[in-house]
This record gives sequence, C-alpha cells and structure tokens, in this order.
Amino acid sequence: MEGIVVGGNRQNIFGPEPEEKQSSPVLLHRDGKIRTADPAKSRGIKIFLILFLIVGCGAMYTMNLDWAQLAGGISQIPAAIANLCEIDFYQFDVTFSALFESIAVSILATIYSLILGMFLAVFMARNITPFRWLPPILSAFFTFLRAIPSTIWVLLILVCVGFGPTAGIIGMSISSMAFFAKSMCQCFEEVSNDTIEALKAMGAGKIKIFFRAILPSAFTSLLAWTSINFESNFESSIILGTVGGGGIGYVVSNCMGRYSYGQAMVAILLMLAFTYIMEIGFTVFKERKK
Amino acid sequence: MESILRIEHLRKYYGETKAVEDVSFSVNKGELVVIIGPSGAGKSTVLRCINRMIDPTDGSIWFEGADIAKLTSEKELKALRRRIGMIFQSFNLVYRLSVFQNVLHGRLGYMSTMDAVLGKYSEEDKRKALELLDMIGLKDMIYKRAGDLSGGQKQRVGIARALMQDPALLLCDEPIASLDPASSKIIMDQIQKMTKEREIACIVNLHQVDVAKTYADRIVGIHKGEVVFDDVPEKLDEAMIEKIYEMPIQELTVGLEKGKVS
Repeated sequence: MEGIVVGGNRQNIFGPEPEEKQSSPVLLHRDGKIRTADPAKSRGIKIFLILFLIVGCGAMYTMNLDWAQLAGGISQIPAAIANLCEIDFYQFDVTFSALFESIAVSILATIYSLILGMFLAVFMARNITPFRWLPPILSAFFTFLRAIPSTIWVLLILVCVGFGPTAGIIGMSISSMAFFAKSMCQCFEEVSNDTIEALKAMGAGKIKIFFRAILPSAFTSLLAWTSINFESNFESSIILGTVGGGGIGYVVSNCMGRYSYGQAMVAILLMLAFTYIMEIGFTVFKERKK
Repeated sequence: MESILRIEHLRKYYGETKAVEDVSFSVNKGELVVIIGPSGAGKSTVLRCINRMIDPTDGSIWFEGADIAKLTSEKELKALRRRIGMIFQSFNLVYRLSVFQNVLHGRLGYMSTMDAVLGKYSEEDKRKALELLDMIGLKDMIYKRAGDLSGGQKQRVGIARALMQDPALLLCDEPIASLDPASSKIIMDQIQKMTKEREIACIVNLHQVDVAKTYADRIVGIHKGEVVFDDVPEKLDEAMIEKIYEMPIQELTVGLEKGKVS
C-alpha cells in the first residue's frame, strides 16, 4: 500500500528545490507565517462578523443614548429596590388566581401550537416532507407569521373576537405555532440520515419512519423547545396582561399604577417561582426520558 | 528494554458492576502491546484508566516514575495527558476545521490558554505538523475540511494529532474498527512504524485476533476484567483464544479466516 512513504520526500516542502505540487501548497500569511486554514473557506464568516460590527456601531450611533440620564438614574436604584422590598400580601387571593389565569392561557396556547406546529413541521422538514416543493413555501409563510410579534397578533384577533382570554390564546398560538414549526423542523432534519436509511431499507414507509425513528430521536430536543416556548408564552401572557388583557400582568401594572410596590413585588415573586418550578420540572423530565 | 508503563492490580467497579477486576501488565519503550478480548471485557476501561479519563477504583499505574492512579489535581492530570496520545475508533476530529488545524490540536496541552483561544500556534509547531502530514501522506489535503476526508484519512489525521503531542505512550482504542481492510492495513502499519521509529510505547485495543498476531510485540488477553494471557503472539494458541473469547474456535475462525487483513 502506498501512503506509508518511509522517509521519502519529507524535506521537499521546506527544502530549496522548487515546488512541484500544484495542489494545496502551503499558504503563508503576509508576514511569512504559515496559515493553518485556507482563508478562502472562512471568508463568509469574516464578512458576517465585519457586517455585524458595522451594523452594531451604526445602531449605537443612531440611538443617541443619553448617558447622563442613565448615570443620573443609577442613584434612584436603591430607593426603587427598597420600595419593592416592602412586601405586601394585600389581596393575595386575587393575585394568586390571576397567576392561574396567566398559566392557563399559556398552557392552552402551547398545546394548540404544539399540535399544529408539529403537524406542519413534518411537511416542512426536507428529509421527510411528502412534497419537495412545500418546504420553501411553508418556511416563507412561517417567517411572515413570526415577523409579527404575538402581542400584535392578539390585538388583531381582539378586533375579530372581542375582549377576553380567547383572543389571547389564539393570538399567542399563531406566533407560537410558527416558532414550533421552525424549531421542530430543524429537530427532524438533524436526525441522522443513516438511521432513516436503515429503516427505509427495512421497507418502512415515511409515516412509519417518522413515528418509529424520527420522533423518538428528536424527542429530547422537542422537549427542550417546548419548555422554551412555554416560558415565552407565559412571558407574553404577562405582557398582554399589562396592556389590559387580565392575568397576573394586569395585577403588576395595576399595583405599580397605585404605587403599591409591595403588592406588585408579591406578583413578581409568584411569576419567578412558577417559571423556576417549570424549568426544574422540564429538566427532571428530560433527564428521566434520556 | 526500559519499561515506560507498569499497571499493577488495576480494578474498576461501577457500583456493583465489575468493569475491570485485576489487570497487571507493563509496556516497554518502542513496544507495541495489543489487548484482545470480547466486547465488555474491560479493554476500553483499562485504556481510559491509563490517561485517567476514568478514575480507577484500586491499583497502581506507574508511568515515568510516578503512580498516576493517585493523581488528583487537574493540573497534574493535564500534564499527564499531554504525554499520552490517544487514537479513537470514531476518529473524534473537529470536522468543520481544516486537516492542518486538527493536527495542531495535539499542541493544545502545551500552549497558554490565550494562545490556544486565538489559535496562535508557533511556526515550529506548524512546521512539525506539516512534516507529520507529509509522513502520513496527507500533505496535499492540509486545507481540506476534516469532515470531507474518507474514514482511513480521518484516522491518519488522528494519528498525526496524537504524535503532535510528542507522546511517550500512545493509546489506540479500536483504531480500525470502523475502517475497510485496506485502510486498516495502512493505519496499523503507520502505528507500528511510529512506535518503532519514535520509540513510543503503544497499547492497541483490537477485536481482530489475526491483526493482533501480525502487529503485536506482545499480546495481553483480557477475559471478564482479568488478564488471562500476556506473552508473545507466537504463544497465543487456539486453546488460549477459546479461553479469552469463551467460544469454540470453530465458531471464531469463520470470522478469522475470511477476514484476513494482511
């Protein structure tokens, strides 16, 4: 076998004799140092980073941040914290039931969008889609859906169905579904082609392969995305509350408006506790399912 | 011959499970020792105890005058590991990086953190890497992405990467298990050649008994976590193979005769 060139032409690349190999000669930096990678292959990343820097500087410049105001505000921080720390359990029952309203809205939105999103992700994942032309169309459509924030969707739905949690659930489901479709599609596409090939070789069809190979392989990452999405749904349900949609967000904005910071703090702590418990719950579940 | 590594009564338990029960053997400078044994006999565990990727439960491992089984500080472990090269069954390269960069990874253990983060390899290291790449026959592919190479080529990069460390000891964990016979031969030839030329002590885990007999200076047979054979390949007879693999030779030879590599 060749490839084990004993001794041989080891000195050639450095020796005085001229280079005979045209393919892949040793590339040098401008200062004569040896390059460890072909710059032509990493040009894309470099251009991206430079653009990033330019856009970042441009954003800083146009924003025209008022640093003096920012510095002045720093002295207010201790007072604000002191206010918040005077915890006040006034109307705790109202705060607590408001928390549950927010949780219910985000759970429902997550479930609806999970089902729809997963169904659509199957058609969007290039390795399993039944129609080759469908993924780009779906992908463009979901990008459009995601471009509009969930709060705006809720406001649009409000116009159609009127006030109430229904508008919140539907509005949040739309953007959340688009998020699920994209993330799950990526999970499905990451499943190794070798595994799919093996099942195909056994005579399994696409549906069988999806349920018996792709879904189990992608399960833990699907779980991670679901937890992230649920968290963001909870967050947007709170934001919706502050603009009048009910739930615990409304309690916070209402209390802040009445300067009862202690009561607002109780609501904030409840949100914190809930988010943390959910996080632990998902982590434990994921560990078990490994 | 000068002994570089001496393992004494190595033991590794995972709770109740006995991965390695009682393993003792030594390796000399420039000697190629092949460990054979059925799957689950503890071959990989023994290798990984030597560079302390796994912490042994009991026993001593003498390497360059110190009992490395007793090391605890992260600093000492790192200093130990850079003296020991390792070659893996599934190559374990960074496939997005160039072949050249992958080989240079062998120097990471010797560099300052700052230089490593910035990828500032010294010109001396680079020249050494090029020399190694030339030696293993990949000189024309140094800027290729490691992921674009064939299996055999990837393993050659693995060898070059390990040799970049200037190791005193080379650990090869099933280096040819995912390769075709032709590539397997190239890889085994190169491992043997480097061991002899550079006087590195080398331990290779293998599945293939015939390959072991061809390349080994000495064979260590492990059965259920214990050494049952430790001698020159010529002494490894059929009865011994049956004992190591706990299987009649007829059933084993089907694979052995047909799978001849050399």
